[in-house]
Amino acid sequence: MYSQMFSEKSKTKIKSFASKFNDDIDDLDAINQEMNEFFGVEYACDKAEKIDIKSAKEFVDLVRSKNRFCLISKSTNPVYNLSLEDYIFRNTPMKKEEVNAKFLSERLLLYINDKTCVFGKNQNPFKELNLKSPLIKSNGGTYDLLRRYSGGGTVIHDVGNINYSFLTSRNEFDKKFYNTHIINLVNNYISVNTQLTNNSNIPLLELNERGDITCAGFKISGSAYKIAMNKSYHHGTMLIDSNLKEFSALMRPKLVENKRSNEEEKDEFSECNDVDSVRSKIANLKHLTKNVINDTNIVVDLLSKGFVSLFSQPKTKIYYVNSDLVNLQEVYTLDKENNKSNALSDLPSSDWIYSQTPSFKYTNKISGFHYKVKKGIIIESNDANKVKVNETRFNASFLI
Amino acid sequence: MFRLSTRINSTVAPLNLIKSQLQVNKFGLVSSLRFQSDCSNKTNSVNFAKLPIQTLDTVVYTTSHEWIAYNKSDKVGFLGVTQYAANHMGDVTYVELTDVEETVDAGESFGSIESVKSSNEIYTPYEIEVLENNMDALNDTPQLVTKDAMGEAWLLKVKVLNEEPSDVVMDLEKYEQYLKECDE
Repeated sequence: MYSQMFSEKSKTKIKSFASKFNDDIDDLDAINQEMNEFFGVEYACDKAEKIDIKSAKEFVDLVRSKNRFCLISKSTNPVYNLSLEDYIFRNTPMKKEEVNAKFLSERLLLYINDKTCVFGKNQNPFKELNLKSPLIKSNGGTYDLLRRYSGGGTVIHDVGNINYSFLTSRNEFDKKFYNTHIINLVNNYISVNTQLTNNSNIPLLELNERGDITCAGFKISGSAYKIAMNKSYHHGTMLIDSNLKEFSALMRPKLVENKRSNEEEKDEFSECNDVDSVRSKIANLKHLTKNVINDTNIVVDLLSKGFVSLFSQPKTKIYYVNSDLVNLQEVYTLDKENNKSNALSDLPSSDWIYSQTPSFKYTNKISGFHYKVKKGIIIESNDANKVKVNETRFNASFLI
Repeated sequence: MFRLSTRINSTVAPLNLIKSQLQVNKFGLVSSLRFQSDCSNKTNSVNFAKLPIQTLDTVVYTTSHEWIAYNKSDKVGFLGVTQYAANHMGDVTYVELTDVEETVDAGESFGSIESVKSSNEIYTPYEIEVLENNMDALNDTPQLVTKDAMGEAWLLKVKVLNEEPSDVVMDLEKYEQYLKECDE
């Protein structure tokens, strides 16, 4: 490695680095570049092309090509972004006869969502979230509700949080691969920058036993996965500068299972087998790194360039997608012969948000009424005034 | 430059080093899986003793790691995921299956299995009618999938409506060969 620094190749690198320096690039960037080159990470900033996708057609062609690419969404609409993810996932080419061939179409999608509570495919939102909270949109607040297509627990998004989605083949799927990559990119950045400010006691990121990223004992990122059509994605969140006070007001505290068989002390939620969220202490990276990572753009930059650096050939490009230029409804129409994704209208439907909830029984401990719910509809209840059995949909008004 | 790099080297591993370590890890995993599939003629065989009908004459496997065991005569049988798939998934937390009386087209999803934050879609190779699903058992103990994916944790009792396309399925020997390629 040291000898490489004096080879012809590195001389040109140093030269380009020097010329850049004259162009008024700040010190941090320059040293960062030098460090990255030293570690064999191509400093992709100038080398990777960044391209705006200009039309739905261009987007369809890109997704249907075999190319690797990183896509950065400029939209903060959660339905748009999750639909974008679903369209890319379903339509990334994977031929049955090539299931075991080396996969060359890895994709990384980066997006930031406005305030949204996002829960796992097989979760019960009545159980995970405070649906009566004034923060929720239907109660006059600002937080949307969305059910993901992937497994796992409940997370909350806002513009201080980054979402990443790494797509590869089922065969090459490895739960820990992408988070390990992120940890290296971020730790590298922290180390370079703390060296400059002589601030050496900034904690670094680590991977916990559940495959999640932690920092100083706090969870800063939650992961979930989906495997289908011989492909896979690993998506996750990363808290940079989110409103954690609101997040904790939105999450229901962990329910304590009641072991006593006394009728009056029955659990609020029973006869259910939905997937429970694992509660963790969370924190913002901005706070933990003492402002070294103080902006979502830093991480968007690190992850997009890091993705490009993962592959040597062929050159991986970075694209921007904008909901005005790439209208997903238009994408569906253009691609109607092959596309099966209809997330744009499925995701916000109450059928998907509520009725997909696994069966459960809710007992309102104040009124004494109970409700057995299957596919969103009450199939048994002693609340004759408010409920028409097999017709009435269960909703937040039945909760305490 | 030298001072900086020494400090970094001691705190963070360079990316390219991590990449090679990951490859080693993957290799480690690969070799253990190899071992598994080498001796897995048993593990990926249908555990007929634990199926509601024991006398089934045809068993086929898919590239997405499902199996169907059925009778050629009445086309009635059982559909599930292979033990190989179950071992890969890890602890199963939730099983979602198509309702009884519905039909599912060849190549389409008939449900999903959630395991450790991962939702895994499951597919039928043939067009099927769902006669029964095993939700009663799997609702309470989804872990059965890990324990006995090819017996107790059968997913659907089905009637095979059409044995086409026949080139998408494999017999056990071919499936085992395919697993070796998967692990390469």
